[in-house]
Amino acid sequence: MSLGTRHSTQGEDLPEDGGVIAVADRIRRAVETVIEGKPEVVRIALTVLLAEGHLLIEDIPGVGKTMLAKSLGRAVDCSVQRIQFTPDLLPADITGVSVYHQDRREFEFNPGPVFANIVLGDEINRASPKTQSALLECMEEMQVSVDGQTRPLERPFMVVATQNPADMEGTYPLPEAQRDRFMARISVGYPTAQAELDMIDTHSARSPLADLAPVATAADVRAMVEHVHTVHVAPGVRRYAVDLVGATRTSPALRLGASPRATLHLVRAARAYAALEGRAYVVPDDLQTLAVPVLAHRLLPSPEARMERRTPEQVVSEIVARLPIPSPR
Amino acid sequence: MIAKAALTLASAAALLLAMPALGSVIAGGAWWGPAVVAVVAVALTGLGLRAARLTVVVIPLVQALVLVCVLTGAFAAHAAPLGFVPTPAALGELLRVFAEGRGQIGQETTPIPATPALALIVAAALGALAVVGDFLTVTARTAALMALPVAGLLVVPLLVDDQGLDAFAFAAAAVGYVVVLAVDGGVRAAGWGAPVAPGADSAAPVLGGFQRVLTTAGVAAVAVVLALLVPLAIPGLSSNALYALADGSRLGGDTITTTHPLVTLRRNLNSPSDRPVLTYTADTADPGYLRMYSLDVFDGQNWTMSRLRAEGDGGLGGELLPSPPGQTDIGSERVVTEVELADEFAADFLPAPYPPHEVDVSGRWFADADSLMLFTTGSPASGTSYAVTSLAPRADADLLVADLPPGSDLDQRYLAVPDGVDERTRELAEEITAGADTAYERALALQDWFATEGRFTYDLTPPPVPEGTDPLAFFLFEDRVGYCEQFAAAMALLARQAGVPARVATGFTSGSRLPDGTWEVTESDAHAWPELYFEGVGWLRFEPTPAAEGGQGTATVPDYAQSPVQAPAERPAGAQPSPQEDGTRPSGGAEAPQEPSADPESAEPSAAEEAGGAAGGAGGVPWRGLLAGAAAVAAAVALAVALPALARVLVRRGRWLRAGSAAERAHAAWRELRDDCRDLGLAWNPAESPRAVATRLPEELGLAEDARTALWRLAMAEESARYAPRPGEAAAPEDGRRVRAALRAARGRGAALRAVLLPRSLLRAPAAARRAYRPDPAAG
Repeated sequence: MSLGTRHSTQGEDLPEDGGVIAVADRIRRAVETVIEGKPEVVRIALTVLLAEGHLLIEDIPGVGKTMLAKSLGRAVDCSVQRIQFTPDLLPADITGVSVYHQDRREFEFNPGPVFANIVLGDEINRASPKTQSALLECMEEMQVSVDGQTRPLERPFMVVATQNPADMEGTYPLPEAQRDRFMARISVGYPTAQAELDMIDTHSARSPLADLAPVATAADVRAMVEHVHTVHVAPGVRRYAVDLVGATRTSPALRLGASPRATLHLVRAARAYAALEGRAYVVPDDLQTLAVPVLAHRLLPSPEARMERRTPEQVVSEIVARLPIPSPR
Repeated sequence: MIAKAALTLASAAALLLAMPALGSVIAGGAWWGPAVVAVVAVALTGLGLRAARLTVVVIPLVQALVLVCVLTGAFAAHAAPLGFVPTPAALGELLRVFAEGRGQIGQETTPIPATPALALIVAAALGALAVVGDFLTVTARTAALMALPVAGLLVVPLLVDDQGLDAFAFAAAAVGYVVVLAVDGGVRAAGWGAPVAPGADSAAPVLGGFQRVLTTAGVAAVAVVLALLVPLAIPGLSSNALYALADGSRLGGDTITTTHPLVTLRRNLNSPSDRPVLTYTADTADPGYLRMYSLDVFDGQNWTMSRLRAEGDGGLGGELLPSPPGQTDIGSERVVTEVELADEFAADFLPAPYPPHEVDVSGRWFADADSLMLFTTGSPASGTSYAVTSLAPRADADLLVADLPPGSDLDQRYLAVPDGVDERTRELAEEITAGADTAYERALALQDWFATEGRFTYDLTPPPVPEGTDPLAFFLFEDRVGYCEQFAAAMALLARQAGVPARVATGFTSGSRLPDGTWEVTESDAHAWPELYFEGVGWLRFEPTPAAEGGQGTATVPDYAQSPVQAPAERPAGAQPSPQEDGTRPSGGAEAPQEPSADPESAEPSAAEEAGGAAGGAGGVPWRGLLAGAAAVAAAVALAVALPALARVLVRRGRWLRAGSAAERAHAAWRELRDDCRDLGLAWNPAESPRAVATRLPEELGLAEDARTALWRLAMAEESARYAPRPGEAAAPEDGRRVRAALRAARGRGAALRAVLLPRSLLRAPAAARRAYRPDPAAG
């Protein structure tokens, strides 16, 4: 049901401010040895990690959703837990249970798989809504409350959930309120023909995951997260973020616009993205790149847009393409 | 709130500054006080109502009410309770005073003395204009339309007073208007919030304000220059013929404008084609001349027409014209002339024998009561037929010998000789008419003098008059070469000097009789002749111009004007001026009218500065005038063409000048890039970030490597200026230049030329300002 993987800490130096890019680059290169030909997907996954958000990977089976999550967990030397969501999974299976010890005559808490740095929730939409919400509470509050006791989760804490598209059989699609808690949603997509050819060569013998050695520690990641907080967000960029999110609320193609939480997520993600680029400040391009992954999964298309087969992704792209960037006067 | 107050006061100030314009038409200062009070009262009412936040609809109504109260208080206080309440009785008193003022305006000539009645009219008008101006400026926020009330005031002296508008009054009104525009502009700019200080140093705001003032003054200066130069470039307005004839009109009725009659005359006479102008039949064997224009004003140099007024609803059909002035109907001969105009001949004045009595013509035609000219206010007629019944005057010997003094209803202008006319003309007139007792004899003596003793030579292209010389005096005393225009003008002047009322008529001679009995008039029959007035007989034409060969081919001397000595016979050839005797200069000969003019430009209306009486026309003077005019037009055109480019350069300079800090220089460079792209017709998406632009443009246009890197440097400078906590490298103007050059090269020569001459960025600049935000103080 759960699979614990731990890696020993390697003796890496804690990265300085300037070292952030180096470390992030190492992680990215490591993940890219596993997920080939998808640099943008890897970059956004890394962005979400540094922005302390949670990632939703939505795609059809077999394109490497789980592989992405696992390689990310393995490249960073931290605790990784995997939860395979099934319809009979219970909340306690995630958060953990208190067990009575006869000899010591006391309850002892058995932490569940959520107590890890990276939690891989596989096929999250297969579990019942009750179980789903148990995980989502942990995601939001970064703590677990069992038997009246509150236990904080260790940082970094990132949930990478995968889900099959909602129209597949045997699924409970995540309600929009739950989707809102994920910072970004990405789809891996089919690899290119060349990438698929390479895959046959490299992956047929053994899993490339096995060769993946950790290139950073949890402390490195915490330092990077700290560094992300120092990235400057100019007033114009903040205004642009508000404008972008606001535009989703007024767009006639959308029934439900993005929440204020989405604005916060967008700016946080943009900070992390800028840090990954080695920039000390956010530029509108960061917001533009992140608008679709960060915003699209929170939106509901209006009936008209549905009739025209316009997806929220398309709508967000259109908004990005025509919304003026605030410019100084 | 302050903004509205400022606008209210500015609108009132503009009206007050325009008031001196009325100073030239009103004598005395008694009208100032009530008018100022009316304007101020309206403005204060506006201030108060807006402070009380009343509905805007109410404001003009209340202002009008206050205006009425003020006027009542000032002009009908004795009839009003409390001295100002506008009861019906008080209003009746106001109306009575108003009517009195109107009567005064109708009767007196300018400047009108400032009686209380007139002061009431001025105050009421200014108060009403103040209400309108207040509405336009403050409520409707269309400050530019404040020009209407201001122009309304300026028009009054232009319409009423021949002297036109005082330069000082005009300047004051213009300043007032500019004040309104400036206040409006300031209010609009302030709507965007306080301007961002252009730099950290404390002197910058002062400098910025100074620069704004400079910019405003520059715009105003350019506008003034354009307003003065553009009319020169429009052909219709540059011919001074128009100015000469149509400088306004009396109040009421339509103004009549036409090309100067003498210019038309000269053009006809010099026309190489000699086309037919009209044909007519007349029920007399000896039809008179066909007159079109009557030039009644001599201004010292030229004969011109006093202003005409089209009265009534037009349509001469059926009604009899006013009886010819001074002509008793004893012995008039009724002549019916049926005229058919040629298709090529467009006439806004109908050729007709003088004096027309009954005209049968379709269309809107009017007759001037005094001169009996027939004219239209609509489009000129061509190919029209019409019938004129005229009362050909018979020169009754008794009446002529009786030598009655001109009646009181004859306008004194027919005797007016302006100051500055060469004194020798008076001496000459006295010398010629020395032996003549009656006006009629004086007229005959003058005509004979031109025909015999004067030794004049008829020439359609007389030599040019030396600059600075009175053309008529030159014709009379120096070269004595000219054609009908000079002869007619000179004789009319001499007649006036001799005390005979005179004017110059232009039109056509009787033409030539065709075998079938009709008469044909061609362009070479165009003619000018003097008309002299004799009480009881009316206006009689005389013929000082040589006729037949060596003169105006179809000119005839009327019976009454043949001197008694030569009474019944044809004028013998020997009576004509002899070119042989003159010796030095050969005459033009009979073919002269048919000969193409040696110098076609001399016949152009634009060269006709000396229209009337002048021997000028050909030669250097008009050429010089033409060249100067052409140069002025070319300069104006060049300026108009260069103006957008100039404005674009000024915008660029201004941006770099204002930019102090690194961030501002980056912004300036980036805005320049944006405007350059717009100038070149390249798409500029405000949704694109600097780096997106720097990525897209080189790919779209295939820019070279160095331009690419320059563009990237500009983008990075702008990006860090906008978004970084501390701006990085300043943008270099060289990079901007390099990118501009590369963009132009990539777009091709045509687009580059358009970008320079018609920079599109000038049109769209303010759009971006709407989405402007305040930069982070830390980032600035």
